[in-house]
Amino acid sequence: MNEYILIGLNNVLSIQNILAIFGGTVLGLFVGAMPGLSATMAIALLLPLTFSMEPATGISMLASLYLAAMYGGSIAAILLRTPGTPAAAATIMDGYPLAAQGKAGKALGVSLIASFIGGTISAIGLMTIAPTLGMIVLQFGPVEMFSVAVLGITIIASLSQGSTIRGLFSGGLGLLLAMVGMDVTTGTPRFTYGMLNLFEGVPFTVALIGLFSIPQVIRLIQADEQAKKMVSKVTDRMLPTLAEFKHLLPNILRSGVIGTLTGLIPGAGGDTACWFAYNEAKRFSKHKEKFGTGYIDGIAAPEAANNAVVGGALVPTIALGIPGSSSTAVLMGALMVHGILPGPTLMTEYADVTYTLIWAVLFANFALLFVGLAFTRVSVYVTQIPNQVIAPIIVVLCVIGSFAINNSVFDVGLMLIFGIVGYIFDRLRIPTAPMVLGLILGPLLDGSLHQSLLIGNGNYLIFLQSPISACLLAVALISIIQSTPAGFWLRQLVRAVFGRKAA
Amino acid sequence: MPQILAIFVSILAGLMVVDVFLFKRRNQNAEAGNTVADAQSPYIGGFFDGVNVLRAGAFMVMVVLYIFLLDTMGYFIMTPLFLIGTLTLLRACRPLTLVAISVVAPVFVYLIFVTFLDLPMPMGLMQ
Repeated sequence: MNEYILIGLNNVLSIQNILAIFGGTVLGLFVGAMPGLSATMAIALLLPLTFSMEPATGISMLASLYLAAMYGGSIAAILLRTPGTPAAAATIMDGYPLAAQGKAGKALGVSLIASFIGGTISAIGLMTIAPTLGMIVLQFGPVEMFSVAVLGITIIASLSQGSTIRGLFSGGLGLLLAMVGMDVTTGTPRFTYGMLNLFEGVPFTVALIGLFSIPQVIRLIQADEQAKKMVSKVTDRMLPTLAEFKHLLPNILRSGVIGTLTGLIPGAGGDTACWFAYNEAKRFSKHKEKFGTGYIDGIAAPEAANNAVVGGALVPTIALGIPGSSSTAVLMGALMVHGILPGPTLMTEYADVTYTLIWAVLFANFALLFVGLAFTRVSVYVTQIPNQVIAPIIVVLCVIGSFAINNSVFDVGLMLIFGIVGYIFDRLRIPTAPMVLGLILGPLLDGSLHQSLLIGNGNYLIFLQSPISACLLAVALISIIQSTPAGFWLRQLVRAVFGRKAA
Repeated sequence: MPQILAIFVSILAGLMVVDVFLFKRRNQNAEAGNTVADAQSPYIGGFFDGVNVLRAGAFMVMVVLYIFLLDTMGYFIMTPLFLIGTLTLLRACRPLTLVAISVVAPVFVYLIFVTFLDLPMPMGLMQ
């Protein structure tokens, strides 16, 4: 295990990997700064840039892009009062008031330092938790893997915004779509309707590009022209003073840990973590009344948390093959494009790639600190590009991305269909993240179900005979029940039995 | 496996209909009781609320045409046309900037993706 850590460190220090990390950071900073472009979309759109790179280099670049976009989102939040990415929504609360007082530079500086420390905490978390979890998962057979997949789907469905029914529906539909194509065990083509293009199944990355980009494009242009964007100017210095830094440190550390833990949970990403950390910072603070008026604590907390999500979300992605957020789902897509199947093999067969990625996440934080200090002032101009120009260009990039994966125009059409479905889902408030997860986990679920049933001679009870699998399935069941009326009754029952405090 | 899933998804689709129905009724009750409806709840307002249907529709028609003609015409012919069309439709910028963007963007893409990264592109007529 230790030798791989060193191999990864060695890999990451090669010239092209360092260049990739810096390149990804710069791109992520600019894309994150554009209002309305999320980190997920940035990764999906820039995926084709990495096709001709080495797998480790490409993935490292995308991971640093993800990390930098998390900071970039705060630039628009602070200067424009619109979050550049959903994960920066909480930063507006104190970031914009501070910028309005003429201290935009300080707001951005606090955000950068908090992002840096939060990201570093989570990178260390990733380096310690992922290998341990990976070791445990290596003991898992098909029976346990099936239960892990079921748990992944139910958790993301019940945690995603909106109702659990909608989440599960979306997840189920994703699983169903994953069934298209050749059956892994029997070799019969399913739901292909004679179309040769579908024999390989629905290309997951193509679906991702469509689902995450096209709805956003339509959202950018659907409303009538708004008033010209108002931008606060950055005139003061960025770096906070030593006293301010000392004052912020406990808050940043706490928020970093909160972010890492939130990232670990599949389905909860930066947009959840930033509010969580903001509220906790407020609760611990001695000056609760200052929050919302341009208090630096209110900037540091959400920014440390949303960058810390990156490392946390990568843990289940690497160890289990279940992405911890929609951005890591796209990162998984990138791995698959490079022919690396996510899951337990990442820790054994592809350990060199995995450890390079883990180191890259750590180094990307340092890159972010430099790039942030150098380019934040420039990125202010990016925030002023009108939406009407951005939207068509995104479409042009989507076409490249979806075509380049299999060199097929059919895929471009498929991307568009997924995009339109994504938009309809969005209008109906059905979350798309569970559908993406269904598409990823479908083959795993299908394959492990077949294998488990072969082991158990066709008896479904095999899933309850393995203690690990039984526990995982029980947790999955609870996560569904807690969001139904039955869960409400159960909670009332618990309250009645154990008194008020227990519930 | 597909059968189980199909049944599962259909049940959930049915539940969604029930959910919406129940919600509408609860919402009506809430309005009758003069309480503010939860803005985060689904199905507040119609499907096209706040959407400039004509503009978004015309934009999507252009996207569909762009992708439909991509194979025969080629990426580097369709992209400038698409950009000119959509940017004009959206009244995004002045005519000169518009033409500049429409020409520079494909050249940029060509340099990065074809010359530098050597990725295949649908060339169409330019082959």
